This record gives sequence, structure tokens and C-alpha cells, in this order.
Amino acid sequence: MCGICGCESTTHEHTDQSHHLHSHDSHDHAKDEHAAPETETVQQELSSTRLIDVEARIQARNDSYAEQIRTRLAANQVWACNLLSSPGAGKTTLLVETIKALQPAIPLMVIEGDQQTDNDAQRIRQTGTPAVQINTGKVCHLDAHAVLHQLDHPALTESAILFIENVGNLICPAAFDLGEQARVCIISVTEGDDKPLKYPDAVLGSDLLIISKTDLAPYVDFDIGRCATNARKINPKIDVITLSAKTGEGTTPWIDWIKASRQHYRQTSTLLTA
Amino acid sequence: MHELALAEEVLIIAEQQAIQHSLSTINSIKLTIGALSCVEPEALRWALEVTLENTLADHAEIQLTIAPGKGKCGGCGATFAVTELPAACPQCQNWQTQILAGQDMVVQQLTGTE
Repeated sequence: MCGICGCESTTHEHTDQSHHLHSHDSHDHAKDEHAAPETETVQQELSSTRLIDVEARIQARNDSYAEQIRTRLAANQVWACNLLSSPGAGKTTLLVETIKALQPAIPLMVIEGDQQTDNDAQRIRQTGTPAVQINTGKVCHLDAHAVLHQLDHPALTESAILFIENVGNLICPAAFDLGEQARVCIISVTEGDDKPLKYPDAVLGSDLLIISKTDLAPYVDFDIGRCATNARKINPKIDVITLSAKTGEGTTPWIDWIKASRQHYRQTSTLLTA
Repeated sequence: MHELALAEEVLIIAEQQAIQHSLSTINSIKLTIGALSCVEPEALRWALEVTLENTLADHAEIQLTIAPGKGKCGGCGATFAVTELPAACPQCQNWQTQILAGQDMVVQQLTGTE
């Protein structure tokens, strides 16, 4: 049995290169202690056919893992940030530049999510920051179960920042809470400024919208103001920062946003655990 | 195609219920999907068809109800039905809409045979 999540997989390798996606054929979550409690009553019995009130949230199991992640992060005062974007919006490039700006003052850790290859984790490791790669195979998003399994590889560093670079996809990752403290949606100017309207779920669940690759803005028809307005129509509370990871323009407000959000989290989580 | 992952969760919930209530077959599953959840109902239907195949819920009837979305205006405080995002307030036309309901995905009931 796996000591982390209690699942019964025997092919569980907690290596940093490949994440297992267990087959649920051998994964009996009926015995899973993380499963959210459900209330059910047998309403009626007609011969041997029974009607059962279940009232179970479909995402209860993911959310239960996400809650475990939050507990683990809080115990180590680790602030986690989940990065969402379409493929090619510049998540990894931004992350590399962000790491350079934050280290060595703040300990950093990265979890990379991609269908396959560990190219992104290798790029992160070249900065000196530890990175683990989750390969999701045919799955189009990271889920809390996958992330929970990576929290020990390497072990969480006290007071670190954990960046989780989700699979490049603006639809599916939005449905999965990873226990993060902040969710950041990135849209590059080489996309469309109506993208928040086309993919509202990612924007609705995010704390910050980064409009990236602004160095390319003179060459495309992307209207930065319109994109920000569209995002606020979906999520009136979302913060918006425009930047270019390539030239460094606008990255200071992003670094300040990280520090302020982390500071707020550390103060409130200290109060909660005190 | 996260609907496949969600369909797998539905199967896990159905299997848990089958064990608890000693059911050998699941005949129907009643789901409520919020109009503002991240789910395309027809994609979920297809995903369930594929996922439930050769399980104790093979050929189970899927009853899928869309739960209406509801929003509250951050400007005038009006509450109103929201069918999709973005949604402007029908009273004052501003875009300060806070989502109150319509994001949940729930397995409500199932029927099965012992």
C-alpha cells in the first residue's frame, strides 16, 4: 500500500522523473480513507431494485487530496502557485526568469506537468532550482492526487515557494484544485484578446491574469486593454499584469505580486495555526 | 477532455455505493451538473458510456440534469439567473457579477439490483 495516499497500487514509484497514473482497476477507492463522507439513505426497496440517495460531489476525492496538500503546505509555510495557460504562452520561460529574480533569497521548488518529456523540468533545473516532472500521458491536466505524490520528491523546504506549471491547456486544468494558494492564468499577445471570453473557467478561477510576450505587441492585433476588460467581465476580482519575460519589462510588478501574496498567506496561516 | 477523469470519479462513487449496499448491478445514475461548471454535458455522457463499459454499471441509464447558474451583482445587489459567462447584471448592466450557484457537479441518486 502506498504510504502517501493509502492507495493499493503496488507499482508506485516515487521517482522524480515519472509520475505513475495508477490504474483504478487495482486502486480500490472504496476503501480510500480520503474519500469524502457521504450521507445516503436507502429510500425504497422494490423487490431487489433499490434507490439510493448518494449526494456525492464528483470532485470530492480530488478536493480531499487538495485539502491534504494545503495542510502539508501550511505545516511547512510553503506558498504554492498553479500556472495555467494554453501551450506556448511562455509559462516555462516566465518561470525561469521568475526563479532568477527570486533566488537565492527565497527557496524555490517546481512541479512541471506535461503529457510527455521532462524538457521543462530540465530547463528549470539549469537554474539550480529543484524540479520534478509529472508526465500525464493521455491525461490533459494535473490533479491533486498526482501533485500530492510529488510533495516528498524532494521534501518540502521550509518557507519555500512551490510553482506548479500545469499542462498547457486552458480548459481541463481549471476543473482541478491542486491545493494551491494562488492560481495564475497566462495569455500571450500572440493569442486572441477575446480568449478570456472563449475560456471563462480558467479566468474565473484565477487570482491573476498575466498578459505575456508584450515585446511582440507591436506586431500583432492583440488589444491588451480589451483582454483585461474581458477578463474582468468574467472575474471582477482578478488582478492583471502585463509583462515580457524576454525583455524583463513588467516583471517587477509580477515579482512584487508573488511576494505580497506569499506574505499575506504566511501571516494568515500563522494566525490559523497559532 | 477532463470529462473522462470526471466519469471515472462517477464510477468510483457508484462502486463505493454498490459495496455499501450490496448491489451487483447499477441500473441508473442521476447526476446534476451546474450550468457554470467546467463540464460539457454531452462530452460527459460520452465519457460515462466509455468508462462504465464492462463494469457493474455497464448500460446504466444516465439521467443528467443541468442545475441553473445564479449570480449576484456587485453593484446593485440584484440576484439573477446566469446561463453562461460573462454575465452582465440585467438591472444595472454592469459586469461585477459574483457567481452564487451553478458550478457544482453531483451524483444525486442511483438505482441498483442486489
